Amino acid sequence: MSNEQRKAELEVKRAKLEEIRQKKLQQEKLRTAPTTPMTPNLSSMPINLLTTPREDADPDRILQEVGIRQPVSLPASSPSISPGSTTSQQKRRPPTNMALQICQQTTATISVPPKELVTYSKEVQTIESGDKDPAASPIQHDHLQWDDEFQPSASGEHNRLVYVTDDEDTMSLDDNTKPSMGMSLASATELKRTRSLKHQNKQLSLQGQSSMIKQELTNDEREHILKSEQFQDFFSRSSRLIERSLWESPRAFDIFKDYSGRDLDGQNEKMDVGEIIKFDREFFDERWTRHRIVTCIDTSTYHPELVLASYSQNDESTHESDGVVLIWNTKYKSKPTPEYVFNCQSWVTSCVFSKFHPNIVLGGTYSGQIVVWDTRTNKRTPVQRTALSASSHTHPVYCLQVIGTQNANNLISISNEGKMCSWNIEMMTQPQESMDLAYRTKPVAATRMVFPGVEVNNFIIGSEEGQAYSGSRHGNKAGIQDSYEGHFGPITGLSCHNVNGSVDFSSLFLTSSFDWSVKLWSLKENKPLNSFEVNSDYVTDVRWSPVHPSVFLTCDITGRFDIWNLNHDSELPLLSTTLDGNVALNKCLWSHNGQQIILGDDQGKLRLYDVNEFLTNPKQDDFNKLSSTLQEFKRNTLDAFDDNHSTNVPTTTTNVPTTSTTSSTSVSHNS
Amino acid sequence: MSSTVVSTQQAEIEETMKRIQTHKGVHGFVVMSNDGSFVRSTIDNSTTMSLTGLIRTLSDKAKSCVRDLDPQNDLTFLRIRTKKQEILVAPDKDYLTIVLQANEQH
Repeated sequence: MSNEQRKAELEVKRAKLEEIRQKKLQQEKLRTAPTTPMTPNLSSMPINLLTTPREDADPDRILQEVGIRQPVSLPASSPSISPGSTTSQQKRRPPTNMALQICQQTTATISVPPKELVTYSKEVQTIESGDKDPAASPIQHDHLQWDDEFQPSASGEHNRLVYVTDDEDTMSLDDNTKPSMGMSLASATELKRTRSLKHQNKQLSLQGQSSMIKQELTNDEREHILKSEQFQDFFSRSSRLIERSLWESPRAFDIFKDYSGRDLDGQNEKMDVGEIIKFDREFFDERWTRHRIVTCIDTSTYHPELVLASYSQNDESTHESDGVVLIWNTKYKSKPTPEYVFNCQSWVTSCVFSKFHPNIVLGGTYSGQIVVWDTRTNKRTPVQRTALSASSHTHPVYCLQVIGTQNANNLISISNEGKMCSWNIEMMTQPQESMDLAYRTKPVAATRMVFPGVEVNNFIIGSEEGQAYSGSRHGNKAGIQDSYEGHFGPITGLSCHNVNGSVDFSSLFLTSSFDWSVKLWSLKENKPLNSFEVNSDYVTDVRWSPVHPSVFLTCDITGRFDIWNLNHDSELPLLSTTLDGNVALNKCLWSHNGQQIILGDDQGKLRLYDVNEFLTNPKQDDFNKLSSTLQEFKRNTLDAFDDNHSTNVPTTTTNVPTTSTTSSTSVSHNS
Repeated sequence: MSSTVVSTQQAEIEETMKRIQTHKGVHGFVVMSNDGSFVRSTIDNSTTMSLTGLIRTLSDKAKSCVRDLDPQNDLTFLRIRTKKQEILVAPDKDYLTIVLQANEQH
């Protein structure tokens, strides 16, 4: 490189430097100009004058100076130049008095938007879709998660709906999308639709999709749904709820009456003191119980408000099933329909709740089969049936009883042929054991059976011939041991005393028979203790009260039912009522707490009566009274016996002349 | 065998539905499925459609409210008493029953 070239380059560079410096100086002057002219011309000039660029004279001089100072200076060092130049400028400026020029300077306003900070929080990655309960079950989630998965369907109907409601919201979107994206109108509206849909989804997720998908089902689809088992399950549950609340609502509406002031369960009317029983309600179902006789009643130990009743066959209509068993609910006062309806092929002669299984109902039928129903299933037909074979019963099963404890329980059944079978409820294909009931080689046609109290071994049987027998299932003398003779007709009712009190009366039992009488027995004696003969027709059932030691109930075929209280009067019933109409009572039962009596008649009706308190709350001396009454009975029988066999007048008793009919029975009448 | 069982069950369903419909004071009876379509209704179509949508919303809201308060809890029955009538709603897993009953005037 020659020197000349270098000089030329240097000059070029200098020129460039000069340009840059000029620019810098100009900027510097713009900055420093307000400071420097301020000082000399403060008084004369206004402060808010715009700064003016300096004359060209000064820069040249400055440049020369600068050029002298730094002959070979690279542009990189220009920043260091400018401060130096300004200081030199400042030294020189004050003396000069330059003419200031005012000119407008437009400044370009640049607004820089705040930097958008795009963050991704690790908590929520999905689109918000309404309240989501973290502990909600999957089923619940199904309802709420529809939005995320939901794809907008092609139907324009709901889109239109969405469009209208979200119009304002999507307007802004529209404005931005159209011009910025430069799309065609059609696609913009498409975009708007999908966006608005998503928007809708986000906000209205809780509304569920039903508002958006309203599919009309065709009739076929409806039929299909109706037939599905799922629907049937649902409907059996739901209809129960609905029916109960439908029946309850009239009374419940009374809360809006504020002038009445009476309490809500208006049925708390107390019975009059003199009133012994009060009619509560009756159970009757047009379809299932008309023209049928009530054959057996039972109440549940688990749910005392449930009443089980079995009915005979309906001769009038042949297409209805022969066997009907209904469970009624006494809790819902107004609901007239049964809780459960069970059917089977042959009519049911006896039925019982399983004491140890809350959902099992057992029935013995006319054909000898024992059937098991389960309330948990939706079916009306039995879940289990015993086989019709010689090992089980082939005659009507007249009595069923569940004995034992929770862990070891058996079902005992007796049938008319004189067979007693014991079953395991879980396995009903064949009996665990069966026993032929025979007394002195004569088979016993059993009509009634009772296991006294919590006995599992000893039992009492009532037969068609009129005798009662006692026996035991196991042991040395398994089978029938003693017979109790007294009745002339088949025994229809048998009831063991079962009240726990100061005196144990558990050896007492009552029998009722077609011979118009009711007899009181003790297990220890094979002659009746007393006979009650106030009925003038077949007595169909007798029951001790479960709470009062001296109270029992009888019913007969004329529609008459009597409540007896032996402590009050041992010869006449406390209360005797005959039902209107031509009804015959077939069965009677006390409720478990002894506060209600249930009567079943031959027209399919169940009548419930409330019983006065004094019959349900025994006093302490009732037990003692009963023992003295029993002693009286004994005395009476002895007296009668003596009367028959001797002419001597026996020691006086309170009774009026006794009349003895036959030697086997002794009856005392109060004239 | 199973078809006869099904048909008798269906007959029972029909009978129960009829019993509910003819109950004193019952104006309307609707059974709907969860997707918003009704299976059975005794009121006119337009009312049914609006009723199903609205009741569905309300029932879901009530259900979520109950659930939010206590996750172990669940809605079993809903009863809306209005000036003119009473609306009974029995929600279930897949379906929902609605009954409109007039208020008893004593």
